[in-house]
Amino acid sequence: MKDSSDRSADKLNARKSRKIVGISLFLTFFLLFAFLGTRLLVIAVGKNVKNVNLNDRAEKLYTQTQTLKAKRGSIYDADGNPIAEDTSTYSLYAVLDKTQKGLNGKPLYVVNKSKTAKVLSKYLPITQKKAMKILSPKNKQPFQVEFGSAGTNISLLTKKKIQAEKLPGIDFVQKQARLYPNGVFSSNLIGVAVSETNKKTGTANLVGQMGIEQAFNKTLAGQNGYKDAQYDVYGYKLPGKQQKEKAVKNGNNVYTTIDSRIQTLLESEMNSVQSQVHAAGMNAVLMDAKTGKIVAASQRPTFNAATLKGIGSAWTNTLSSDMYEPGSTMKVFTLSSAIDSGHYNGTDTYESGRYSIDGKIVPDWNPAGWGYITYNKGFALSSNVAMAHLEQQMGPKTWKKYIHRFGFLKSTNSGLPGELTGRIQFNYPIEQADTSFGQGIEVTTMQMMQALSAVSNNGTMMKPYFISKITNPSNTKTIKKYGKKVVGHPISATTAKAVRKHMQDVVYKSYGIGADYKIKGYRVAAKTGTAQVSNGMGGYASGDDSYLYSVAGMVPANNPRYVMFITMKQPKLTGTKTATQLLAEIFKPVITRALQNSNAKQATVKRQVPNVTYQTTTYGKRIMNEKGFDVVTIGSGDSILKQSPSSGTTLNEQKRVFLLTNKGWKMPRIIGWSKNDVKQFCSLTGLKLESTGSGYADSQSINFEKSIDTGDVLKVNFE
Amino acid sequence: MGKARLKNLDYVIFIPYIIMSIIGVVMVYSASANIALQNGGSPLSYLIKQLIFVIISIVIVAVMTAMNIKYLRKPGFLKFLLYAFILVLIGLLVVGKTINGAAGWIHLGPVNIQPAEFVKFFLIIWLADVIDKSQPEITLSFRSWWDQMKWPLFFTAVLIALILKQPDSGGAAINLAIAFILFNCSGFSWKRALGVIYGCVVAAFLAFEFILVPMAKSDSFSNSYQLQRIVAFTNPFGHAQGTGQQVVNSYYAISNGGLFGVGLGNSVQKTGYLPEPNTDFIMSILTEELGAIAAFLVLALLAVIILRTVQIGVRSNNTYQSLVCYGVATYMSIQTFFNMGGVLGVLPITGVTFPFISYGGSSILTLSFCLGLVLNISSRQRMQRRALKVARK
Repeated sequence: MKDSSDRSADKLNARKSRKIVGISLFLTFFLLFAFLGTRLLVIAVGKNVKNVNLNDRAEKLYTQTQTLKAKRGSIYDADGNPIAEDTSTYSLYAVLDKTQKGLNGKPLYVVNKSKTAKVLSKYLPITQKKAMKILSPKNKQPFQVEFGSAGTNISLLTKKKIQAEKLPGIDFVQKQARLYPNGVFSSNLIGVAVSETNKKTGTANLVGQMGIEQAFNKTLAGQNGYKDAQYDVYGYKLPGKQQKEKAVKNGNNVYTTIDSRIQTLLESEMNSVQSQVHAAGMNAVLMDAKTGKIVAASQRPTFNAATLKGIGSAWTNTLSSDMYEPGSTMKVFTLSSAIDSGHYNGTDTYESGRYSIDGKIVPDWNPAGWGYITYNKGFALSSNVAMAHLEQQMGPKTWKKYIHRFGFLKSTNSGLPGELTGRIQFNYPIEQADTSFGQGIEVTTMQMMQALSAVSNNGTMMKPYFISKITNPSNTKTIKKYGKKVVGHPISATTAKAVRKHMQDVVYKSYGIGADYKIKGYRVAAKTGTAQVSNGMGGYASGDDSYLYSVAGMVPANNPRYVMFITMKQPKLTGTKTATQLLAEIFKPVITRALQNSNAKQATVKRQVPNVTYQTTTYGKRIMNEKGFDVVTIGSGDSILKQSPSSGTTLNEQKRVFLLTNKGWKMPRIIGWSKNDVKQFCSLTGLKLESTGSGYADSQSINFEKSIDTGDVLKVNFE
Repeated sequence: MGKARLKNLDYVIFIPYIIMSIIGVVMVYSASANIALQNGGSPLSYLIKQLIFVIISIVIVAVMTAMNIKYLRKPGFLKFLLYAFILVLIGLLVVGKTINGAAGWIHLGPVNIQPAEFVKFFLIIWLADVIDKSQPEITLSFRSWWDQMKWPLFFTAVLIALILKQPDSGGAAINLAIAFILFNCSGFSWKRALGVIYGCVVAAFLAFEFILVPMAKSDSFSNSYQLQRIVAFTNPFGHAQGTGQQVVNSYYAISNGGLFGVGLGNSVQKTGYLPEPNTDFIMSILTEELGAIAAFLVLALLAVIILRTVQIGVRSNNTYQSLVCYGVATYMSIQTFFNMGGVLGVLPITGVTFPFISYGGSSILTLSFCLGLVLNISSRQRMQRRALKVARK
């Protein structure tokens, strides 16, 4: 080598230094690699950096849990028509933030505002100008904007149409909603389900709040499922990774025993009476006399389940959650007990008017009395004194025994939330006597219905029921069947027949006070009642309007088919009609229609359409319902502008009749309507119908309960 | 002579190099499985390109081993390269197309060339030559050292500054490290050299910890791309959706792999969670698929090459050969440290590839030039030793 000859001391030093530096580099690099290798192994084995569990984090990163929402079961009437059902509505929003971009830089924000506004105005109840204004907010650029009421409650059909326009930045949020197509329709017994957010899971679910919706919440709600899957960044499922999944279980369907036609009639009769006297509360129940099946039940105050209007003052289902002193309707059971225990001699006489027990007076409603009369007449006249005597002849022990046998003072186990059991004051002879005419004892309507069934069903007491079956939504198989259930035999059949005979006297004897309940063609057994309303402070409310009026009736009297019980609390009577007459206005048409329907099974009856134009809405609905037509009222106005079909047309019973009121038109639910019905509806309201297909309506472009106006376009698909 | 050198090939370096190149080709193909969705191009095109690079690389290694080193040391050639690199780097700053935030690429049809990579090789052969040639003078005194070294120092600074400006802090740091080590081996006493080297390492660490980190954490520099990487480095999980994404996902990949890996081709992290799976983070994917033990062995192979290179440098009595070996070893060590430092979260991410494994032509070719030169020197040493032995006998 050429350098080897030149060996100066400096160069030797320099070479030595370089070697030493080289050796230290060797060691340094070795240590560096050892450090990197160690760190690598520590992470790979420990799976933990800075106290973060890498395994858990990575799993979370890949896994997406998708909640599969259970569909809430429907509630049906006796014929299988929906009373409450699930529906999905959509809310629309527009993303304005320009940084929102998808793969390949595809914009996910509104690009062309005027085109977007134009398309939205085409499908939503919003003008192009207004939509444009919303899309161009003045104060600093928000991430997204919404469109108020116009952008909510959008139907699936409309959503699909808007989506078909492929507008960037327009997105939808699905909302589960409960649909009550009938509005006011035994609303408190059916109840409502409203969306509640589960604090634990953060998901919103419909939860029953009252009546059947609450009582059967668990079976109606079903069970949400979920799907855990692992995805790559682009949303593709990773192969070979375990996918955890729990199937969704949709809620079961609940079938009630409610007969929609009778229920609708009952509601309109109740409205009619309520609008006349504005009672503090009313209850009316129609029950099958032999089985305890509830055919119709209504109360006032109530609410519109579709809009929740009025729910603020109607949070109680008074059928089972309200107790009151029934008054004279209780005499049915006093008489039953006396006859059944062999303490009744109807032809014996007593002095009516007033009767003193331990210095306390039992008065008749006519304090002057009717002199010495028979017990038979005393019952028909609703004499308190007669009942006090009967109670004393039986003795308090026997009477109390019968009170229990009739199922008072304990729950009927209806299953409804918050059912009350009632109570009694029974310590002193005067208190014991008071209970014989329904004072000093508190009962629920459910208990009254149950006790009345013993009389109507010849001594065998039936449990009132309103659910016929629960079915599985996927295979429609019945999961649980409900039917008639005997809950006791408080009296003998002979006693029951005798009591019904006395109840007929109330209606048909010249001195009876229930003549208002006579129905042409049917023999009626009834008992009226007038009770003083407790003021809740140990005393009774005073004044003319301080009474609870009631009637319990069974038709036909000899072999009852239906039992009806109506109460009316503190009506503001105007003097034109008595309370009995008002109650009869509900009792007679409803029970008559029920009897006619059950006799003339499926035979359709043709009737003439009456003229109700320019009448009040309440009146018009009632008249049409009494004729047996299916009334569709459009709007919330109180008078009727137009009707369709016009008066004089002959129409089959159960066919639709449209009544157009003077204001507040809202879209009804038209799913299932015939094309002809939809056409009639459109010509009445002036909507422009764009129909596709034939048969029955399958979808409607304007959502249920949306405001409508003449000239709006309604797109309907028939199938 | 060339043939003789090839016959005396140093297999301690050559075999690990071949093994790593093969692992590199396989891993580039596997890691590129989903790359089409991210960067475009098909996995197969990455495989083919990497294969071509490796073949060219082997040819270069062979040529470099066989060639006579004197051609590399011609003053005109080195001067031409120096000015050419300065011009190209300036040109890149003016018209350079930005890739990944750095203007470091020349696009020639299907190939993208990264001149900063080749600067590393150039610095090694240029500084080694300069120091060797001025050896007698620079050992006399600091004054004479300075007289000899001021211009090389100046041009080195210019080159590094231009690379830093791209901005390619990783590349600049590696070049700085090479130059730093070479200057320190220019003839200082070993005490001073080691004092300066380790002093600077400690100073760099302290400066990072007490100046850069607090600076990065203050809000006034939130727009700096490089300082944000430091923020992500100090708290990766706090920025897992943003600047910390790469480190965090690299951790997940290593954790997924464990000791034995999830199997070749089964990486989840390469499906889009970990960016740059076939370049900067190929070691994360390698660990995930083949396991930490395999990754450890890859590191060991690389360590064998590097340590062997240092050993050759130590053994050599020739200043130029020694310096070339130290330069090459420093280059590969620092590059590995920066890459694995980012992968393992012990350094901020600098965008540096892993030697021989990562996809990238410029990197592989530069390494080939370096390795070929080292093999050349190694062969010379062997033949010399053998000649000495024969002479002694």
